[in-house]
Amino acid sequence: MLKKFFLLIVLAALAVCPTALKAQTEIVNGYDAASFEPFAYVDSTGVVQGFDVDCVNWIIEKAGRQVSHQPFAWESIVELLQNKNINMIASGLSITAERAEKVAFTKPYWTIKQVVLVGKNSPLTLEDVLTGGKKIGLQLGTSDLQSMEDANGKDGRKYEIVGYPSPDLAAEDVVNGRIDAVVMNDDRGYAILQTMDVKFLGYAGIPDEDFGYAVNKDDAELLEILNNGIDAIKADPIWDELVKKYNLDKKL
Amino acid sequence: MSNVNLQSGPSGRDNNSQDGAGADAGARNSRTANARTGRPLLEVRNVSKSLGGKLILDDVSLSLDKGQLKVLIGPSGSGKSTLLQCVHFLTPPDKGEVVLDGQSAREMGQKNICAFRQEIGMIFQDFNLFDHLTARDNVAIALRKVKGQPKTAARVRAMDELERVGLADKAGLYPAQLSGGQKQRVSIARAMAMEPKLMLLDEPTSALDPELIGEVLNVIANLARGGMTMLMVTHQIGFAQHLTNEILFMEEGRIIERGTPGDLLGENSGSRTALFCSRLTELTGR
Amino acid sequence: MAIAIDSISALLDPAIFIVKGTGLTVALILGAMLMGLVVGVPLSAVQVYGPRWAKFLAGTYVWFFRGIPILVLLFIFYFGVFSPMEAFLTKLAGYRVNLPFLAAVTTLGLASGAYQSQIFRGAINSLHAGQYQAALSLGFSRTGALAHIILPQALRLAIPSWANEYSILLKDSAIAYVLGTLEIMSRVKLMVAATHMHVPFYIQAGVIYYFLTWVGLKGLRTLERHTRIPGLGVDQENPQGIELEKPEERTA
Repeated sequence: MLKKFFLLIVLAALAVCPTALKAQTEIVNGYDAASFEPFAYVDSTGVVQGFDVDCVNWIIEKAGRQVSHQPFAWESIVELLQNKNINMIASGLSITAERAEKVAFTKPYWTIKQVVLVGKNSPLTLEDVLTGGKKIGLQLGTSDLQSMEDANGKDGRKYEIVGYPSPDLAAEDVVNGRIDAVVMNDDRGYAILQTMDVKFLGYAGIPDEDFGYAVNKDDAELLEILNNGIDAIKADPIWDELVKKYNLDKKL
Repeated sequence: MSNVNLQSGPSGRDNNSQDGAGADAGARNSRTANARTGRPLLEVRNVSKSLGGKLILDDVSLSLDKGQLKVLIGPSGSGKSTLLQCVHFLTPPDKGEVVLDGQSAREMGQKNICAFRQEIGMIFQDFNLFDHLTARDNVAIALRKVKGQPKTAARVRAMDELERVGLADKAGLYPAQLSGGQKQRVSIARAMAMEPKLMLLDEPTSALDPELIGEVLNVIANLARGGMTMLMVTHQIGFAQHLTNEILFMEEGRIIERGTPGDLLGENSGSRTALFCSRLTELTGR
Repeated sequence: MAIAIDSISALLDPAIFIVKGTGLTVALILGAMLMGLVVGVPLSAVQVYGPRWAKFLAGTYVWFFRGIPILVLLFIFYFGVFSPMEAFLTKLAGYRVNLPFLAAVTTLGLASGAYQSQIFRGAINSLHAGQYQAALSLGFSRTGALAHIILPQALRLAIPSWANEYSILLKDSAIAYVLGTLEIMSRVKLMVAATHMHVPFYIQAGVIYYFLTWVGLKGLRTLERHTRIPGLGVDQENPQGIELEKPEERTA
């Protein structure tokens, strides 16, 4: 009987594991598992959506290749690219000098500003938030958090930064009053404005950021495909379609 | 059991030339004559063993002719069990030789030591039956897994051995369902199934209730009558002295007395053995 | 009323997405348990019967995997072992391997091996020591004695402890989400991000895990019943061994 039991487990394991072991496609795009709406996220039926997702699908398809998208914890996503565990990052990744040392960026394809959101009924002004020692939520591992940290203490700025796995969670804490405000990029901010009880207060006053796709430094081929693709897609009518689809034309 | 004088062969001198009295007079009944080759079946030469830093066996020597039964007695801690373990090469001695039927255990090397051990059977004080197997499978398993016999043949053989010890009807029971006496008889059947040349018995009845001792002693006596060469550690002096022609008394790792039962236990022998045995009878009334 | 209906249907799609993760979770657990068995049995044998140096090595292994939290182990193995080895593994397998899953199964498996070895070690030690001696006496080799006499009993004795190990593995499998495997917890996090609702999905995950626990434990209990031997191990009906009328009459 014991032998039968083991046989059963071994068979079951063998049945399930190989399929689990197989990864998706030749090119894997890593995106933020915390869901970066509207650039790369999973909708409520489990389908991967987003501006970056659609653009990359278009570009790669035009190049005759295949791409799939996998979620990863944001803090380690750059390292994964360095280790070639993923082929690229298309997930609202801001181009920074620090990151450029580790990976190769395409030309920028989008620019964002950082906005400040507070609760719908909050009496705070922009000045209150930025100089009044308030609690501001930001996503961990992002360039905006880094910029906000760098700017803190200069030019009269005074605030306390609270880290979150995602801007959404930070926004939720704004709604329930645990923190005073949240800073995120404007496109994300717009998406959140539609579904949560927050309001737009103003700009965070830190430098605008450019988004670029990132590939491993050794992957010259993919870099070229993406760079050419960016030019191609911007010239194609699909660009405007996608911009409209994800409300990226609605600026705060 | 009648005592019959057996001729001591040329090896008689080797056996008993050391300290203590006793020649091979009054040997027990034996179907087979002394070893054809004239050498003893078992030779233990100068065996020493230390455990945990303490010297347990100190230059012990003895020998057994084929068909002989020798009894080993002595106080606890005298090294009797360790001696049996060394003879069996379950734990190899630090110094000395164990030679069975001309084959030295040490020369067999690690790989072949299993073959050496197969030639010897051991009966333990705690029975040591395999708890997950029925009585029949206990007997059969070594036949199948060590000797490589096919399942049915092994089972038939196992049933034979169980019959011989009177337990054929208990073949399908597990050790937990058997009495102490039954367990020990099964363990004898198990050891005999391997057709050993030598049987070692380590206080086979010490863990048994008094009523159950008899059944086991009967089986042992039958074995002896059948000509099995045996070395037995026991407290059952009353029983053993009729079966054997030599008693070995051990104390603190050395055999300090050896001789016939008559010599050692007779009236006014003044031997250490007699002293020890009288203490035993004081306690157990035997 | 309309809101309630809306909420429920909004929950359905994410719920289905989450349930689909069960397959991967089961694969993780089965794979890890099996690996743990394969590693744990020899390890326990070494710890009981092995030479000094081998015992030391085995002990170090156990100490390592028991002492470091699973989460840390996961990262160590993923970034330290699997990630750098990716090219080699792809060549070995012939297709691109799902690294997060492989890393998770291996880490959980090796850790489980450490715990299972202690279970078996305890089981072996609880057996009457003389049985090993008796086996050797009959001519069994050391491995033969282990395989035919010791292990069949030790494995039976270990079954109740396995139930415990199974529950632990089940809960540990959730940690694999940090590597991006799409098992139950990863999917829960994604759906939470997509819908901004927390509680319904965490409850759902709890229900699924409870169900998996129940199935597993039921299976193990059946196994235990079918392999039970009178006198071996603890009698579940009478754990304290209170002596009642013996069913078998003891005859001399």
